[in-house]
Amino acid sequence: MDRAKNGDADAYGDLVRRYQQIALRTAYVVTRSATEAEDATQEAFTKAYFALDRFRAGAPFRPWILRIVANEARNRRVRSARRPTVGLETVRDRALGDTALSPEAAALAGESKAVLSAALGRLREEDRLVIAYRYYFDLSEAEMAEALGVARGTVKSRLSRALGRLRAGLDGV
Amino acid sequence: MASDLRRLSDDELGAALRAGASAEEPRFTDVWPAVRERIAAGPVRRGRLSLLRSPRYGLAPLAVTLALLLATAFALSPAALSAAAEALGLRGVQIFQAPATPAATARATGASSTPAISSNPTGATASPAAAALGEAMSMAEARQRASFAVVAPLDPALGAPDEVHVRAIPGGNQVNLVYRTRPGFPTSVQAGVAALFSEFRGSVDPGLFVKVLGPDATVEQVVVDGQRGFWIAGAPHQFFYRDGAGNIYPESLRLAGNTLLWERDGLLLRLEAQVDRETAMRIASSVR
Repeated sequence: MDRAKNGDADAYGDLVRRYQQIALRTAYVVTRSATEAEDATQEAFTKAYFALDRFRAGAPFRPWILRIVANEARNRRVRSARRPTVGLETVRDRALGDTALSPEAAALAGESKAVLSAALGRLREEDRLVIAYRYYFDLSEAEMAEALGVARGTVKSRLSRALGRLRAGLDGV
Repeated sequence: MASDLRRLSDDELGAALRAGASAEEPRFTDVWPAVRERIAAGPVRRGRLSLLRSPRYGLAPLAVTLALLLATAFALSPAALSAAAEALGLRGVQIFQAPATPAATARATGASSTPAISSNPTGATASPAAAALGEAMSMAEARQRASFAVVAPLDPALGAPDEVHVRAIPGGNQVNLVYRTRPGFPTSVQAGVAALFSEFRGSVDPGLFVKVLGPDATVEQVVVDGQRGFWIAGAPHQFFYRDGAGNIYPESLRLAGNTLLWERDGLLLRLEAQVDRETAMRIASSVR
């Protein structure tokens, strides 16, 4: 981190490679498009490099970069003003067609994933992010607060409200 | 099966989500080669900042930029506006980013469709005491006049404001504190002031203010005293009002500086100054 801060591009490369997977997945949660997720992540890491001097020494890098990534991804979505498209619809169709065939035991491991994924896709991106941070990426509460740019005390209630809306959204399936 | 899922507790639902974590995620390509190339090419152009610093540019490019942004603003559909508000809304404010090619939009919109603007956007910036700020008065008078309890930054670097203005806005009024030259605060060449602090009671009406960002501006969510805010840097960006009928008007005073926008006890606060994020955050947290 210190080496990267001092303009060592290779050291920054290590940081990029270490965090790009979670960054890409975060961007994908927002954009639901692999191409846009990659563009947003690229943009975010580039901007972050030139903003390293504003990065507080000793602060965790992960939530900081995630916040920039989510912002970039959001901007991209705003710019293209596009709703989540193909990927989601495919998942939903599959879920609808297959539910009757699935044995009880396989439910949670199998089709429920698709059902959940479809319901997730219908949530607001804010809700998707809080759920992804908690259950996909296992971020701590402090990291979530930093990455979401909210007060730490509100993380739990945000997550709980997001889950509530997810549950409500399962009605439509 | 959906009904089975609905019966799960938060923890169980979380476990189900965890199990499906990467179910349908695509394989991503390594972004580092592209990032390395872009880093080697140098920092991205920071629109307004370089414009302020460079003596080559006068006000003309600024006027052009504003005109383009205006045209872009009018061209935006209500759907685009509400999508942006969903992502970046603060009470009473909408922020959205103009497309990367505002010139094309401007051409498509055409001059004839641009509604009349009450004041000349560049002419009014000559003096910060322009009508745009509202009536000048003492702080004590402002406190009486304002429709809310007036707050101000207590940070010693800013000290007391040099001018206090109160202006009527839809549904209430806005208090503007003007800080002229201050050590450590670059003075805006447009407005001749170092910092501008504005406050008004944000209404839940989503259309009161519109903030337009150029493609080079960055927006970052921040937390000030536990409340939500946005740090907008890398101009150009521009404030507009939207009245009840949906007409958009530019705000006449602009510092073209970095902007911190945040909420505090139902008030929408805005600090504009050409300072870095840390300084802005420090000043913001001194507001009482």
